[in-house]
Amino acid sequence: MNLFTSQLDAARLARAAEPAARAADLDAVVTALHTEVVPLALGARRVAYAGSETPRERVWLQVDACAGEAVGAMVGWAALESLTTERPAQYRIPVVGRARIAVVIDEQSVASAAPNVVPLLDAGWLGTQTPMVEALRRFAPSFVVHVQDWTGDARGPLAARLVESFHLDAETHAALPARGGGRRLSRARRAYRAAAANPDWMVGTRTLAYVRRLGVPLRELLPEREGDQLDRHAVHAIAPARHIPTLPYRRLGAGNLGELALATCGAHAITLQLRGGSPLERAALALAVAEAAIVQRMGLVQQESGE
Amino acid sequence: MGDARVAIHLTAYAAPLVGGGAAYLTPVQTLRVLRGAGSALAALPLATELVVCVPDPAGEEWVDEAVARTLFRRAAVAATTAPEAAGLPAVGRVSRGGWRAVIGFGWLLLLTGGSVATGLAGLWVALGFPLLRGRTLDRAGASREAAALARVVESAPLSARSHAGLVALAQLVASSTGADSPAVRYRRAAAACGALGVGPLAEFYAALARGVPPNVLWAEVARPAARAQPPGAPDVPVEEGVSEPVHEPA
Repeated sequence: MNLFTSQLDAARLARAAEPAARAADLDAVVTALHTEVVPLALGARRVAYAGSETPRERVWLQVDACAGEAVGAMVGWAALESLTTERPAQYRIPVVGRARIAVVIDEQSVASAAPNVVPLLDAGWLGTQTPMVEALRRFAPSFVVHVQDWTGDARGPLAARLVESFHLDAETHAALPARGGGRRLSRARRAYRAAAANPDWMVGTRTLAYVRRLGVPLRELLPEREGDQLDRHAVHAIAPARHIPTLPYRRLGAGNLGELALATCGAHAITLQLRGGSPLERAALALAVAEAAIVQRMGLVQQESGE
Repeated sequence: MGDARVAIHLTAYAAPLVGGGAAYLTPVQTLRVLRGAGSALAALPLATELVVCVPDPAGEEWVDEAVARTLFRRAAVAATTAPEAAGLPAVGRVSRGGWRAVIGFGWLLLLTGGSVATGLAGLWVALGFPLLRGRTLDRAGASREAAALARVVESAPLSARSHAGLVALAQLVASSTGADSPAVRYRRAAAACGALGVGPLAEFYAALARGVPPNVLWAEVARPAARAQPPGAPDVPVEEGVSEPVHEPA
């Protein structure tokens, strides 16, 4: 990893699972940072701000778990620790120097039941309580990374997928094929090609390529049977493990936190949905995808390779 | 003509919370209406009203319109992506292999049929049936409902209505001895919901009492007195609140 370089191991997991140790570790990393407490009906959450006071990019990083575990706390701690450490990392100085990063800290594990099939659009069930959305709106992000952990009691190999939210002109969006690139010589194929040239579309493409280059395995999150994913009609499957909501759901603007951020702040958003694997694996993948998305969004990798 | 034009109410409740806030939530009945009637709602925009039942005897509690409309939009997403909304007509349930076999047979009939009748049958199976299937699936698509609901939620008027059960519930949640924890108060509220005519809120309060996220669509909002007004923001009164209490949503 070249940005989020914190060491995640069994000892870290044990500390994140124990409330007192978790709170102490989080307090230690946010000591020098500006923080805001967002009171919620089910316990407050803290938002810690790191990075430049005059940023070119404003990034909001939030982790939510449907059935609370230590993953959110680990990711929050690792992100803040990596951004505030003196340890050398390839992208830390450019990111901290050019961006303002808001990390939503998950301090409580709230038990809940995970659904059998992960919804592509959760209708804002995770992470969209009004005080959090208002805090997001006040921060006015240009880029949102929302990690949704849908594991709960599910057991199985780790799988993930992205649901992306960015502006696309309505005509092109409406003509996109339901799956893949569309048939040759069709209007859908032309729309797909036009949309694929969109810079925000390319951020998603490059994010997954970056994650693969890091050596982090990413297996697409699919239901056990294809017919079980009953809300497939709500998204375009633009590539393996990548989806964008269809135009009607884009117009509703409330499919998930990313869609809300796009509708209210115009922010480009990537929602990472995770399920399965161990807590360490999920935290590692969440950090890898967050790092990939941030460095690609900021064009850091592009600049280095001179593309 | 007043409310005589309004035929369809989409209802949400403003459930009182400990500490003075409120939570807007959409009951299952509202999701059912959204699921089944999206196109009808879009065809009758003047007949649709978004109603928030509030625990204020005069019905004048300020409703946070932005939060309420966002909640209804979330409800529209949930309703049209729910398993019940994803049911396909019979023509949509045939597997792709079966579907291609039928089309192939149709072309075979068309190309090799020796009579007018066989040719017409082939024409229908190879060309007419796919077109009709596509149109049937389009019309039944939940995405079409979502498109219609986006227009409805944006443009339908939003109003607050006093609900006697919520008024009593607010008093129950607010009244306590010093020793009562929020969990105890929510448990008490959950037990009283049925008798107060707000049965859909029982599960919501029970979840809050257990300290887990409720399994309903909800959004918390501060009460007007506790909310810090942004500078220059006008105190917007509620739109056309009706004063008589409503015991059950339409």
